[in-house]
Amino acid sequence: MKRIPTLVDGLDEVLNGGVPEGHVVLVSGAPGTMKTSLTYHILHMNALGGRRSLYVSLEQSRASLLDHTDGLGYRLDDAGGNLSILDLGTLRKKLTGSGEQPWMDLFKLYTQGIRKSFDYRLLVLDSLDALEILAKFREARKDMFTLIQWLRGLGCTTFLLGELPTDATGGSNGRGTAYAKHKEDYLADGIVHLRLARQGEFGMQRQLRVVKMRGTRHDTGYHALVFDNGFKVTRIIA
Amino acid sequence: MTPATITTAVGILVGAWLVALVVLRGRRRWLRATYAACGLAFLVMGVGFVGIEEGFLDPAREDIVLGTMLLAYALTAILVVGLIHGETLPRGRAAGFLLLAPIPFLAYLAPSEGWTMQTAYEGNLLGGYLVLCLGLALAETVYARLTSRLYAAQSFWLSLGVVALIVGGPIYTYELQALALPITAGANFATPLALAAFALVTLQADPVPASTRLARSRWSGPSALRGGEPIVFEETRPKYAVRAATMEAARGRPTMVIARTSPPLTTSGLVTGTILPNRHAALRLLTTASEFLADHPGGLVVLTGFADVVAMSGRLRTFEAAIRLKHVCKDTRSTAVFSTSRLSDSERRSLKDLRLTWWSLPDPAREIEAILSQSFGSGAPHLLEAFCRAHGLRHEDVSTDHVPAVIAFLQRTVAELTGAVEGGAGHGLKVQVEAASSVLRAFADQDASEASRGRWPSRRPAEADRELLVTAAEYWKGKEMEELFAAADAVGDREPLYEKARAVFVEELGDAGEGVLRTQIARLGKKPEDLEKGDIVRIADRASVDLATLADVVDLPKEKDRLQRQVDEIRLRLERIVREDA
Repeated sequence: MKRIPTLVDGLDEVLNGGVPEGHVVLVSGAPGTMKTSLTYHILHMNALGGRRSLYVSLEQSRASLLDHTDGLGYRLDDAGGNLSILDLGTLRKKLTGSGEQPWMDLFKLYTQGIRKSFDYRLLVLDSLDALEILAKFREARKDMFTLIQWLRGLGCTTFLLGELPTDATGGSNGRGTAYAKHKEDYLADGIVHLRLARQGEFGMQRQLRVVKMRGTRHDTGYHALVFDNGFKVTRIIA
Repeated sequence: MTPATITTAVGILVGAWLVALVVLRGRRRWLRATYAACGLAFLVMGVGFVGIEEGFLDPAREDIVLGTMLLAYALTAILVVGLIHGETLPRGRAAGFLLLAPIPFLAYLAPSEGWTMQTAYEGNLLGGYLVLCLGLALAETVYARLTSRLYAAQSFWLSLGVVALIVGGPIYTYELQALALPITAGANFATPLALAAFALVTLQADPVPASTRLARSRWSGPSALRGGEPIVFEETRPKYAVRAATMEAARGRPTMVIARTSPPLTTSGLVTGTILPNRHAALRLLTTASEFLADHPGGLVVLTGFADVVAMSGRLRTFEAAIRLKHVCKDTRSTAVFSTSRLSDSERRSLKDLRLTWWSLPDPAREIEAILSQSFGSGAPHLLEAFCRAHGLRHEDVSTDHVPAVIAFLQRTVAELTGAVEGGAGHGLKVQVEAASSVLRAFADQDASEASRGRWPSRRPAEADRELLVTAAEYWKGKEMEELFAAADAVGDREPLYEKARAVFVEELGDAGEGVLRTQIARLGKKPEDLEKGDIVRIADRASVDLATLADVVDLPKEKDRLQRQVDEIRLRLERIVREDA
């Protein structure tokens, strides 16, 4: 099985070499767990290696996203044209009668059409929740099933960003809870859960867990997710 | 520097450029790798010669240059065989590379036997191996030249490359020996010419770009098209071929459609390739299909543009490509579909002589008309014409995909008559429509395999439905039938605007197009059936603005241009609808 490396130090070891090509992976976590940064890192690093990637942002504008990622050291110019950002956040503001627009159709129109001129192999949808609200899912589970099936048909590796609520302790614990609102965790081929865990009296640590990855023998425990001139996944030292 | 080292150095630069060109532009992974390996071996050989001659390389390293020379000539033979038999490489790849097996043995023997660069072409085991490699390559090209029309041009260039290597290598060395001149061991001055000839053939036979790349996978699952053979779809338009492609892709089978023009839509899971007008079209068709099937054993390739390839490359070349593709299908348990659409009668007959599996398929437009005739008699063409007018279709474009729309159209027409035709006549009319709908559905549900069995509605004897027609005549006494046609015309005249606009949006934007149109209609506060000409103009204006905004947020210049072209096309077509309707 061909795998797409995440090029995150330590994460590819956890994933036994990377994400199987063509998988639809749900990356879920509470706000502040660096879902956007982590997935952008994966796209950016793969783009540096010549693998074309598309980042679809429904919430942040392109300028804001680039400000954010430039700050982390990921310069879009370095990607040599292999990374494209589709700024649907700005489209929402520009398009008259934005609420009435068929957003699911527009999302499909773009992602399918762009492949004609830019054959991307990696896709990030930021975020699934924003698309759900914009597209006004009537039967959320059925619509989600259709969307994931459709994404699988695209044939590229997809990361769907999903928001989880922040729990009372300051992090989303993920213990005994679902990783998605509408059971999309059952539908996705893989789930990566990000959380903020309490460390000592005052500290918080970002942690990552590969909950599920079809066709992969992976480590199922939580690992520390550290950003220090790039992402690193390391063992949690108590 | 001596003239020999200067010539070799220039050759190294040219060779490096050719290797880079093929590596960057080539699309056949294995051939690209073989070419690169072969080219690099020649380049290392040249660098070794220049280095030793100019004194910046230890002459003791001549053994490396000798090893590289062995590798270069062996890879030349493998490359030439691969370029001629590229489509069967998956099967013969391992066997081809067996030619490399003696190299370690010869390298091991070289020091003890005293073989050096100067004596490489002499009558010993080493010389014999080099002659075998070049001889094999030359024999293959000559054989291809004599037996294959498809590879005739390519085999000329390959022969030229191999002959150049023979002249620049052994023959030139023998001449120097005969003239008692110092032997320029390790250099083959013909390398750039040979690499250029091989690069030309590599690029001439390159597969056409695919619309999207599917992950490499083997497929085995239920299918209406059995694997392991090509099937010819005899049809006037490639309707069943396209339908088979979309149905198989929906089942998850890796499917590629190769056509002359790019289809307007990107269907998820379906790969498309466009054949460019070129006399090598047949060869590129073959390499495109064979590479796809080698990457996706069990897959399906549908050639809707078969007639175009025949026109571009000639009948014999194209049919040879079909025969070779038959072997690929057999080796990979895959299926290829050739549509005979737009082939001339003589071309069809010649294709039939190839004894491929042949499925004669009906023209859905004619069959739909025949089904309607069984229920509505001679008025069927009138009904179908009204349907086509209502949907902005040409009669010949009607396919099984339109059957649900035909049924809906008939039902709307009957509903129109509810007030005008009462009692038994009204009931009879509904029964007739139900009967026609049922037969239409059964016909549309048939896949190509079932349709090829020949039980077509147009072939059914007219007597079978005469009874039904008499019953209908009794109900309507001839008069109501006229009313039905008038109602169909009325429905057709009232509803074309939405259907025509929908066709424009869907053809340009894919499935998402209907949603975009409906949004525009909703924003006008109208229903699709209430659309008027003025609304179409307003939709054209608004859609232009909205769709241009869509292009604004894309950061890819090519995609921006593509979206802009779509916007312009939608606008033009909508304006044309309004003009035609006026």
